[in-house]
Amino acid sequence: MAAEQPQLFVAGLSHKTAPVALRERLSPGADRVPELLRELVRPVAEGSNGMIEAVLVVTCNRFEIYGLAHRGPVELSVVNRTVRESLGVDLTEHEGAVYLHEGDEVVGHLLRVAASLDSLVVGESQILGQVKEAYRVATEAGTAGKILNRLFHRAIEAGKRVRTETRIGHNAVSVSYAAVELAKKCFGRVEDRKALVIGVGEMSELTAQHLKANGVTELIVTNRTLLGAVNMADRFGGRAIEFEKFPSVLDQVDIVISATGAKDPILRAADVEAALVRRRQRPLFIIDIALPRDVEPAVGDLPNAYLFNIDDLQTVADKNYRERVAEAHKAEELVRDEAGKFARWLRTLKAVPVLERLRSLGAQLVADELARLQWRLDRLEEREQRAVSAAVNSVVGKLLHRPLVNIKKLAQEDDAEILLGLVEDLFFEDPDAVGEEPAEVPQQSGVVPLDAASRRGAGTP
Amino acid sequence: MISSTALFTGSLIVYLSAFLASAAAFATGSISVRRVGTALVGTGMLVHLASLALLWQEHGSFPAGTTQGFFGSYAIFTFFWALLIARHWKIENTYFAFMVIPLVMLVGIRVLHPTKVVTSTMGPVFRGLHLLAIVSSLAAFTVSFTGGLMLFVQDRLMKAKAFGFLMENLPPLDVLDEMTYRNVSFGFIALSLGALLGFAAAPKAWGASIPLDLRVAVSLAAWAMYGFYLHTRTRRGWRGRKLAVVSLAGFLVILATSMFASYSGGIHGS
Repeated sequence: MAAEQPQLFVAGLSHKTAPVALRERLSPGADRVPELLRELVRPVAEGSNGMIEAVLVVTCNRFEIYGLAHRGPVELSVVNRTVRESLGVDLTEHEGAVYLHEGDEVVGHLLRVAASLDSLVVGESQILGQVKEAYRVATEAGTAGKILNRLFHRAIEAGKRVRTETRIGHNAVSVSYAAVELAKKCFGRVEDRKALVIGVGEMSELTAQHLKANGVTELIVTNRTLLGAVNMADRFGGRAIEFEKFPSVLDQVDIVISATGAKDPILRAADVEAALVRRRQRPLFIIDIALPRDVEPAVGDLPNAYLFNIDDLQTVADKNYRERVAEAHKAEELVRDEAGKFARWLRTLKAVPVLERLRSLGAQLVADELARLQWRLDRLEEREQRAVSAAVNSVVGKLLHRPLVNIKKLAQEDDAEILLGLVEDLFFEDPDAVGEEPAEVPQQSGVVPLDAASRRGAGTP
Repeated sequence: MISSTALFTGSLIVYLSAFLASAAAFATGSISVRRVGTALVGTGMLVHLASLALLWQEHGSFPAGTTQGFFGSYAIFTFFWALLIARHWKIENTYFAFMVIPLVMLVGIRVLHPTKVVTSTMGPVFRGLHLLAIVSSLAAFTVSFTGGLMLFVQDRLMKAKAFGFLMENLPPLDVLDEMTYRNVSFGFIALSLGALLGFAAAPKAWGASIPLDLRVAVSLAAWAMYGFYLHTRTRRGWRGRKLAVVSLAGFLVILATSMFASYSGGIHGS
């Protein structure tokens, strides 16, 4: 019976299993995703097990197809054919990189993904938005149905809970971002602040990128070669100045990032001290990412000048990463909690056919009994007939109410299938027992035969 | 019928619970615990107000001259003001720090029972405005003192590169500096107003020569210190730790004034 039910699965690969060369080939581009999704749920040949729901999560670190197979385990050939035809990648050639999870594992996996527990940098914040976007696209493409809707809602909820109830994404874990976080400890927020970038290396560019993303209003860039400064300033919408002039703008900026290849310090304590006087002691936050250092260590001793070097930033990043790992344990607990909720909901779905059959059985009993009594009811007035009908309906409704509620509740348990089998045996005729004598006994005496239940090993209630 | 002292004790218990909840929220980062703390502070203030109302009824007029009346009003003002300030500057996680001084004063009053009564010769309106101005200035100075203290600690932590829990959870330097400055400014205006009201009413009570008791003398000293703070900040561009020290010193003078004056003679004594 279970094998015939729709089954959840996820097939894909991630930064943990596949190199970037393969991952980049599996990047369909936002405009092609709806088409790919519709292709995935396209009806397949009779006898094949196709998909009835699909959501595609594509980021630079993962390519994952979340699906609901029509009945039982999915046939990977269906997935592979679509991926091959749409993206030109044959997944069978990369079996070691491709993973497949089914059933409850899918729930746990997606929830961990949304909670950024499966990310390259644990606790990063982008993935939750990417999961939301993937779900939105699938909804618009009409490929996310009842099950995946619920699953993705649960995943997004789990992601939010992890971000709000743990400190997993609280602190920066990259050196360049740690610089921005430290600047915030100085200024509260870096919006409306001005920054000076000395040198145009990779680290200064990354830090400038973070500063700009955090709302720094003006970037002044300087470099020994003015052209390099101009190029970088253009990229960030800033302005370039000649290298010799940078000490004169220290009073105009709040943040200084220095990352040149100079052998001797280029920013001296006397320059900073003079600038602090000119800026009326407003704090000056200085990041020295260069090796050898660009800023005289004595700058750090000046009041209202806060100097941090690459080692300091690395210390912050390392400490934050250790904290994230510790927080990840709490996050795993939350994910398990949310996964449990989904699993319970999923199990209640299995009870739906049984519940509907029970309701139909009740309605049928009422109809049969009223039909049997019709010749007597005809003698009554219409008002009395309605009262009798209502009474019979009420008795059956009340009799069924508690069992229906309890079945729904008990269907959430792990052994729900045994219970549902037992209910079916109790209330419905066993197709194998057609023609056997006790078929009508329950209706006559109200005593339910238990032989069916004992055959399933459920024992006497 | 319940007495004002019983209500005061009740409010003190609620305040202490609020302090513990707020401190726990700081330690754990829990927003829900912080909300519990805020709710408890609100409850404590209501109970405390009720105790002051009863005290008012017992005395026949507002008991500004009793330590319970004066410091009670100060504590309620400070708790409320700090709530507004913490919310405005988004530093609610450190609210417990703003509670320390008023709480210590309230506990001191409850334990030591100083019930000294100031016999005021000021008219009710003058006295009310004088009290309101002085209590407002004390509340603002308490907040600025706490902010200055946090600024001092945060500055030391950043200079020492002590990347730990405290540095991470104390408010940013610039926020503390600005918040302290604004509170000093407000407190200074309120204190000036209170002093002016006092001086305006004084000739009626004491004639042309106003006796200079300890509270008046040290209040003037504190006024001068905060004036110095504002002067150096606005004119000479002092900021950060150096200025925080001035604000700390100013408040310590105020604190000493308030405590000593409770046991001294003069126009603020009995």
